Amino acid sequence: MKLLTHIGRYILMIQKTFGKFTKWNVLKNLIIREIDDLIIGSLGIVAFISFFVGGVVAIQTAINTDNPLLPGYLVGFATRQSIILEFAPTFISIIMAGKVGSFITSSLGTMRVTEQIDALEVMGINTYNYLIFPKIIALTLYPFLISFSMALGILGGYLACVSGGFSSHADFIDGLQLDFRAFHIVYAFIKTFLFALLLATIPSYHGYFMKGGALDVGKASTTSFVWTSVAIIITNTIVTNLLLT
Amino acid sequence: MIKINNLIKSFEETQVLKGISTTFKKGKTNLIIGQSGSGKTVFLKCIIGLFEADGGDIIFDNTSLKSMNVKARALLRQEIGMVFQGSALFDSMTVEENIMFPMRMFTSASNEEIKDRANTVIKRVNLVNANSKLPSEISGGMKKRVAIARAIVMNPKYLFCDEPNSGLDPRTAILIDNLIQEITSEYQITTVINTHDMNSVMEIGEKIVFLEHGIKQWEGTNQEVFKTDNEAVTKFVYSSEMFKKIRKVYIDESK
Repeated sequence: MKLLTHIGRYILMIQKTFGKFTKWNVLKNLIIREIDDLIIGSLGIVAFISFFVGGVVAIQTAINTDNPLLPGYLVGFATRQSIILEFAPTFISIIMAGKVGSFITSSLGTMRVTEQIDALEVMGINTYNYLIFPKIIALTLYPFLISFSMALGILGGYLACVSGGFSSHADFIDGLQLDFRAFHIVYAFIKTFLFALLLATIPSYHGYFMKGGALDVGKASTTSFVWTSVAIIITNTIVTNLLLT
Repeated sequence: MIKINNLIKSFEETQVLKGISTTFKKGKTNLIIGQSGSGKTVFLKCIIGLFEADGGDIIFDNTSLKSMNVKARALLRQEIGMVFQGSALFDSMTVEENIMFPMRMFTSASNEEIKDRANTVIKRVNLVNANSKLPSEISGGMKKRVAIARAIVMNPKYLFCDEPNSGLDPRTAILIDNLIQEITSEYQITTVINTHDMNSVMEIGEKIVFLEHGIKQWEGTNQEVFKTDNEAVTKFVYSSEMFKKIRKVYIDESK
């Protein structure tokens, strides 16, 4: 019953977010600020994680397929598939649920605790649109972040494999090009876009409707991370079943 | 003028406001007083529309809130200024940006006009050298001044203050009280202040509404509060020895 209440309130929140619009002059500055906080601000951590995890994925694949009967290009092929299909879209999104999601929940939660949201409401502002809409728009650029992660993950895999002597340059490149299906990229970006919507709205919900004091802001951030991750995993399963089977 | 008729508000099983009726006059500082949990904040939030009342009506200058559609309510809100207990300044904006914010949102005035108006109210609330500072860089008293400046920048008809001098030292609290009273009289605003500060009651209580357990127990002026025999009011207002003595002196002098 409680879950249904949350789902209902979440849907109403999204509906109100697209209700009465804030003045464009104000809104555009908010969108730019959110792009800076949510997308540009995440480039460093995404680059770092993608590069090194890409390297580890390639090394692990090479070590576990160290059999003369298996072709040399397998490492490049497996690295590409792991990174494009799962690591970049799904696992980076779960990391972002911690980074971006906690930021959104704690900033909105603090605004709630310090009555800043009440102040906006008293002024007659549609607080859903003013606070949540810019985050949704900023996160429509999230697929660019994931493209960046894919590129760096593969680069990390290549450098780790070739420099570590696990695979030759030619074998790795052969593997990257082998049986390439453009639809896999489409599939990855469809789910990335859906994850972006979840990343913008679920943490916003937990922050916006937060009750209590400073301690509860921390609790709300944790709850938001858990529910965003759960929603990402469930969406991933559904989308994969729908598009790849 | 704001007229409240039989206002009722409940949260689940608990009835917090049990039919409150009163009138807040234009150009006067109207105080709502009462113990913690008496329903003061809920009463104030119902009037400004942060809570929807379950029964009764609120009439803003002859227009009933019930009869207003969404658009009319949005317009009414632009005529309301609010000073929150914790000031509720936007942390990401400077003092000047905070004050200019309502004008940026609701007027088509040029940037220069907005700045001019902001500087006028900044001077009015005696804020010095704070325009480019962030809320985290100024004192509690200055934050209240910024909150008052932001509340009056749109020339509101109604000003609401939720415990405007809580957390302030006695001298600053009196300065803030006096500032609110001066602004109320100068701009002819209907001001409603939620407080349990007895200095405010004595100093600026041109009309006082005393709430207890969601019921209006008494109403009158700061002069009448000295003479009242209402037990609930005297228990609350004269709970300290100092105020008991002040009351005695006042009664003795008036004989």
